[in-house]
Amino acid sequence: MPDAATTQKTSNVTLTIDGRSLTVPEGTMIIEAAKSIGIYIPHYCYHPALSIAGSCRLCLVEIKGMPKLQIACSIPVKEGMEVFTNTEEVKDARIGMMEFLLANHPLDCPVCDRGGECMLQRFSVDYGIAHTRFMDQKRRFRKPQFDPLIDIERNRCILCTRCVRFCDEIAGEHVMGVFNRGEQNYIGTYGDGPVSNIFSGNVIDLCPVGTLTSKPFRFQARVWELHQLQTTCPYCASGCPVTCWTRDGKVCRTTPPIRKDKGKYVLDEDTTEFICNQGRFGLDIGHHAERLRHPIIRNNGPDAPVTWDEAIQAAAQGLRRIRNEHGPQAVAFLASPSATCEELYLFQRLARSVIGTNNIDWRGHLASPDIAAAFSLAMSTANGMLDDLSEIECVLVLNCDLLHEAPVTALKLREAARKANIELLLLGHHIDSWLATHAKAYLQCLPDQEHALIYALDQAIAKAEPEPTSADVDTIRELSGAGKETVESLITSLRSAGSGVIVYGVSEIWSHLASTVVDDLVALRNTLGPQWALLPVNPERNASGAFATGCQSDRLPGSGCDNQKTWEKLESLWGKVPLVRAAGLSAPDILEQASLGEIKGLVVLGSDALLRHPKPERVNQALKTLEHLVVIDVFPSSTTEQAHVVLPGALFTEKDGTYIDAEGRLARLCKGDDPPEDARDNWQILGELAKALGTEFPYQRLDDVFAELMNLLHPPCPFTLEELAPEGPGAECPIRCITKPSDRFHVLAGKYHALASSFRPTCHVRFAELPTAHAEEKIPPTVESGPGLILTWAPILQGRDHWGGRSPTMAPLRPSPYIEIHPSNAKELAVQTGDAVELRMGELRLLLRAIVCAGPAPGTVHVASNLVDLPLGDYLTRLPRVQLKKVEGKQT
Amino acid sequence: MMLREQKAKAVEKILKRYPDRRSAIIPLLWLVQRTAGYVTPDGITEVAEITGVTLTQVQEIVSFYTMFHQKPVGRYLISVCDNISCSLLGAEQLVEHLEGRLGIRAGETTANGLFSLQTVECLGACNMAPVMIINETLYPNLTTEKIDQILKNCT
Repeated sequence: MPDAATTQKTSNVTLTIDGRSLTVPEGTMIIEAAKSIGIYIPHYCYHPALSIAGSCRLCLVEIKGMPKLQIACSIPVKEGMEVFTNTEEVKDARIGMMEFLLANHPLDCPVCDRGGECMLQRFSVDYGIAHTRFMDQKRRFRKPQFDPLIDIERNRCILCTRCVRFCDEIAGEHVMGVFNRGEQNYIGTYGDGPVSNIFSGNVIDLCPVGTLTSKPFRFQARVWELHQLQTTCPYCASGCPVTCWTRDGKVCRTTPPIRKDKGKYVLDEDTTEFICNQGRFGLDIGHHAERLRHPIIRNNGPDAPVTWDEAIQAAAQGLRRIRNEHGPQAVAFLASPSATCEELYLFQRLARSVIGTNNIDWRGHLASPDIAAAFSLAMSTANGMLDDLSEIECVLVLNCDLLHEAPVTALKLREAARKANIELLLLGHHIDSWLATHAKAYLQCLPDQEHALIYALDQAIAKAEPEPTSADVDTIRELSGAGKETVESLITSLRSAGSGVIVYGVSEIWSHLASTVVDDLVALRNTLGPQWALLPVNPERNASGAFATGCQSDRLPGSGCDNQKTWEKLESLWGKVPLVRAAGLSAPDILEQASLGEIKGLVVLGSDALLRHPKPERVNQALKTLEHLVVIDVFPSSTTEQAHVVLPGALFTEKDGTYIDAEGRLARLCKGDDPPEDARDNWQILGELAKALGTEFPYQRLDDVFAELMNLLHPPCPFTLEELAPEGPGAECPIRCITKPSDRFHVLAGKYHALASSFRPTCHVRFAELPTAHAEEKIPPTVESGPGLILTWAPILQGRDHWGGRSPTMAPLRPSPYIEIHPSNAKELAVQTGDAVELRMGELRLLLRAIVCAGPAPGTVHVASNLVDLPLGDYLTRLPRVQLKKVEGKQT
Repeated sequence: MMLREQKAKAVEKILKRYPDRRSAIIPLLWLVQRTAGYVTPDGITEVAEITGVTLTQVQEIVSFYTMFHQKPVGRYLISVCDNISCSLLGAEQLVEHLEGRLGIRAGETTANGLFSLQTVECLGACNMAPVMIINETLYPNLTTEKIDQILKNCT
């Protein structure tokens, strides 16, 4: 994240630090200038992502011409400045400051979890002295309960206020503060309550001393005993690189990626790569008690011991029988968007070349073929990246609760908007109220007027006049209820941006109504021009991977099904067998045909998408009708219960592979443990299944699968899976690729964790061939008529159907069912945040916690669909209206 | 709901004085303290809601200023200066005398809720030292006899 101060200044300044001359942009602070030539100035309170506090006084340096020492964190460079960072006077001052900082410190390193990565320890060794002159009794604080995830030990605090500034500036709410004054100063929250935000765990890394430490990790291990696994977070499409600190294969803690310092891998105290709590605390599910550990053949009974050979033979036999009796089209394959690219590639190969069907999909959570078609269009027009926000001027977010779907993407956007590096615009029936605080403008409308609103915007922008016409502005105002200035500023931003990205939430496309939005956005993007890109955000980690690897009925690896060349290439790659080119069924059709008895055999690779289907009874009906169901999964579920054969697979910490995130970056997943007991790595299971079906896959190692896949997606692939992330600590990871369409493999050496390229075959999509005008016909009314508020919904990352929801640490912290209400509606209902409200929907009554925020448009209310018990699947063609009533005397 | 219901006009008047609502935090807290006798948790919540800041931000301010009371105080809050001028002229003995008369230590409140005693930093009246303030009235040139007389008038 480039600092606004450094990017906006154009002129450079030349100065000398410790006799070395350097030139840096005007406005750079001495501490950063020194860092740029490898001179480290010790500091506690300074952090590159936070505002400057200047309170620790450890970064004192000598500046020629200034009578006293100055703090390097807040003195900007000046032409001809001469700075000395290591004179006797500076050294003496540091010793003095260390003595002050340690005056009240309890020196309890042996029982402190920060031991080994503590900046007090480090600087005491490097710059301090071994004794203290303080004789008085040390100040002591009582230890409160504080946060469920963060432990607080105030006696160790040096009041650097990094945590306070992080919560205030980056997490967006001033929940931590400094109380009292003078010697009695201490940090905390009001009433010692929890640090209630999704990024709160970052204060643990930011704390330079042992004040804020991780509760789940408390007294688990000394950090130097742990193995560092450089991998990627499996939970959402932000695709953060993370380091899992493991012991005996068990994930003890997760942090942002580590860096190498003096030959040792350490957690960078100045890291600006923040991660969310779900990724930080939720990766502890590897040794979960409920894991599937042994293969099961249902006819033998769930507890009967079955060997792998028997299970694989049983699985293959059933599929072979159905194929022989009813043809290959009676078999279908459903994958999970949480599987790795290699697994997904093998899975579709199994379907296409071994069984001979294109009935393969990953979108088991979609209710209808219309919505599946909208998804296909969304994914095939995805070409936006937010990796380098310094090159983007404007970001328009439509209907996306980014904070709860891809938190770190939301964080990056908000930071860029806060520092005025981008103009952030929000649009739709449900905007992210967390982003709204830094949005330049936002427009809200009812869900059934979204189509008209985007069309009106399109019209206003398409006209050649420099200013939008008043008629257009009036139409938009009528639809959105926004003021004239807001509308005009939004249109001006869209029109004048030299480059822009339209971000939209794919998980909010749950209804027939919402599916038209994708068409509208493609058309809007065409009007805005080629400098604009589209970025659909799937909440699933590897949805982009599933699309890219061809794990979809209308896709092949790297291209659409209509590309004959790809078919021929695949035929020659896979042993010259003619592949069946007949169109396959998408996931909603597969379920439909299964209920009708047309699909008789189904192979499921990970059932998490199916579990999210809005009509579980429809899924159950389909699965029940099947003659043969094979499920490869890690946890028991309603799907594995119906399975004829269950094959236990591997979780993310137990396998190698790659994921592709929403922005098309490839990230390496690294194996740190073996699957429990009899469970096996998924790619081997798929190989064995293929072998049992009569076709042996030619891959010796996973690397071979990766190489074959990459050569289909992005030939020629310049690196191997091994090179993407070597195993074990101490090894240097050579690559980090950040790719723009112009330079595909821009390699930066010396960074950890590989990210690579837009592995999105869709870079080739020519927008010119896509619809350029909005459908003229009027969208039929798809909202219930009558009184009441319109209910909209979307799943959230911490929801109960999410597989990370099984984390023993995060599950108890799942938010209680809530309903978002716009302030104008809340006023009518006399409801405030925290009040209990009763929701009435037909005969149904439900008690929910009210959250009053700007998220839902006036006249609508919004719920997290995977927190509430509502039959939302019944309302996919017509949005429901609900009545709300405040329940007096109840606080939730 | 105390402030907005009972002191709606006063709240309006305070808010009008400042272009930024946050600036009204201290005057509003003062209003809370005058109304309830101390800064109540409800008062903090209400000030946070009125000014649009978090509870933490209000609490930071309340805990910073010693003139905001976070616990109920007696009807008569006796604040004795213990800085250099007053101490040279016997403030320490006056505090001891008060402690003896009231049967409490500095920082405490009498059981009947009538008196609270505290020591404070300089009251800006060194020329009249030793001094103390009871509620908002300053008493100069104190002696133990004068204190006895003053206490007698407090009922």
